[in-house]
Amino acid sequence: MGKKKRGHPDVEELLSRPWCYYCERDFEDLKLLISHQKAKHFKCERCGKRLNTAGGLSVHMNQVHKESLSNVENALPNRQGLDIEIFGMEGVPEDIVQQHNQRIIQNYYTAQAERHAATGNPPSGQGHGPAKKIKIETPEEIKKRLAEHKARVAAQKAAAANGTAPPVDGQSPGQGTSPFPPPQAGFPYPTPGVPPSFPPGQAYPPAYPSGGPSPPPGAAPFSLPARPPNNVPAVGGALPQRPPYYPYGPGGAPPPGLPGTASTVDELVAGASRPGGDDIDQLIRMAEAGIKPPKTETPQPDDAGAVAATEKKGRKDKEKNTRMVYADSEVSPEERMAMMPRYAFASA
Amino acid sequence: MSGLFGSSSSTASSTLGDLKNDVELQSPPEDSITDLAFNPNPTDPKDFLAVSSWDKKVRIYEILQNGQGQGKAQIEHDGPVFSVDFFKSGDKVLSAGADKQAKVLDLATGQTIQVAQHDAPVRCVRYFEANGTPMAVTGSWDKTVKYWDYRSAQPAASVTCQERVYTMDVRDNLLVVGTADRYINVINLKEPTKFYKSIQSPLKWQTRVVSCFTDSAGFAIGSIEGRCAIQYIEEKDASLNFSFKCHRDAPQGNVTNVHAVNDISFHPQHGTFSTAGSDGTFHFWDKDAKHRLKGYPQVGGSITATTFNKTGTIFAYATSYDWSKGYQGNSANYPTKVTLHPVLPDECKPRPNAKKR
Repeated sequence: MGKKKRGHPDVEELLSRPWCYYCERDFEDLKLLISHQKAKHFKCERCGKRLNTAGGLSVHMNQVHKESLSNVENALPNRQGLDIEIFGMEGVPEDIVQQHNQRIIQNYYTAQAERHAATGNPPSGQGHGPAKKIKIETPEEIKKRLAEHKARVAAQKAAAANGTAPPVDGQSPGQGTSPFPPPQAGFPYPTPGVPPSFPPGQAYPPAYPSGGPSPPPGAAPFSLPARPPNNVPAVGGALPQRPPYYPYGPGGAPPPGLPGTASTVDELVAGASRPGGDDIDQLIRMAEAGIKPPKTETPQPDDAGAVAATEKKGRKDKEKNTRMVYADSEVSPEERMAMMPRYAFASA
Repeated sequence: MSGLFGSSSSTASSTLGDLKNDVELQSPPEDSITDLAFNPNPTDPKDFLAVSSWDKKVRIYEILQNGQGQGKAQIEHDGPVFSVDFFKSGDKVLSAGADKQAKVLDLATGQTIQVAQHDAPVRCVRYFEANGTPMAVTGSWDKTVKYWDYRSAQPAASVTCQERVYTMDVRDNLLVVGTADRYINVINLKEPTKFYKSIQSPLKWQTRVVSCFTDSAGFAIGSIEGRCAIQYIEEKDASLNFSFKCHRDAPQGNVTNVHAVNDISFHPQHGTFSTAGSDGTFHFWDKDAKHRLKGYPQVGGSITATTFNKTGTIFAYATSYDWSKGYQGNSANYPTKVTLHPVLPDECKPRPNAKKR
């Protein structure tokens, strides 16, 4: 895996570069550094001779020009001393090396932060975090939010009209009107010490506030946002977002080869090889799945079959072609059953 | 444990389980079965199974060594019975039904007393303990959840839900209430009048069943649209939430029939769970590995209720008509039976190297 060429080096690369003790300049390689030092810091100003070290230059000055060298040319103010013998990277005191590395790292991160601020790209090497996704609301979602907002406003108005506090999201319905003490007061259970043979008929006056077990009907505001009107068709998009698709197979172990459960490549192939016409979507999806398009027999006008097959294969199965055996979203089967005369309960 | 019910077999490690060792309970209810409950007391060597039914009765069977059940007691209601639960001690049984009442049967004395009264049929009843005191919680189509000390005629507390209560489950201090219109309310039983959390079901369709994890960190939801959701209570675990499809027929042409998930039961030891549906199949799943452990062939009718016994060695499932196909789907010879499936050790064990995600 080749590294992506970027305009800016890694921090490791920066730290490995040789650098000059006298002026803190860094270089591509050691040779360049040495020639820099010879030219800038160890060059005799009298004859132009380039020496290898400051000590060497000092001896040269003494012997050739009968002069004494007091400081290193072109050096930073605190690095002009002749007491330290420097050649390339050799002889640099450890604390100075540390200081230098510190500075490089700091500069690196500052520059990185600036780049991120400028480009908006995420920091490299931190791809684990959830990718930031621009949220685009579909018209249905916007409508739903509007409906929710309207419901909330209406609820607040209603509550205000009733003289009660407006409902706060997350609060349980009926809490404000509950005849029971607030939750922090604890639940009025009997203490464990209550004898089990409590005389029947006698109430629990301290523990149970009797009467009115539920708040008056209508006064309990729903804490959940109102649902949009429930006349959405079976494939409605206005319902809350689907939970992430999870590819469990269907409950009944399906016979292999049926496209609806194409969880393995074999099944995909088996499904793909059905005479399903030459739907371009199908071909694209198969190409994506790495499957060579099968030899299509004489294309049949079996459009429905082809559409079904492609939809299944795309694993974007939006339940367009599922039929719910029990599809009543309002009433449970038990309630329907209980409505039948033979289960009717005549209250005594 | 493979010798349970006197027959041993070693199933191949295929995902398709077999039902050949299953034992049908003798003298089952006469009408569709609504709920099953096993005696949960671990110190009781015997297994008792309570079966509630539309025939207005709760039958309590003792499960013998050979897998046969022997009738022990029954509770009579004035209407169909929808829900049944055992006391933790195993000596009392709670039941609730269309007669808007919940009752408790003392198995030792055989006495039945009324514990709860609602304004509409009581869909669910569950046992729980508050500070060590045995309590019952009932959920009704009158949209309320009420808490009862079974020795008092008045509810200890009550909370109003958004809609009719369709399903409830309790584990430790966690009470989950699923209602019509897809509301799910999570209640901490230490503050029973307050919704710890109210959400709308992550599933798009009517909630059929909720079932708490064995560690009470979350719950599973089953919907009428052949789908289950695994939902954790705390926000920090939200990334573990997911849903999956189940109880769907193989597609016929371009139509796939999807069936309601009627019941979800967690294995008491392994924390794996079963789903059972109107399609008449049940499956064992591992939610952590997100894997189906075993699937079983059709049992000959819709499965309306399931449960594990306390040690997880018996899986009981009720086959009866659940009205999912309406009036037309019913017939005189539709089976109504309770079957005990001996759980083989490998059937419900989570996968060994389940990658926790």
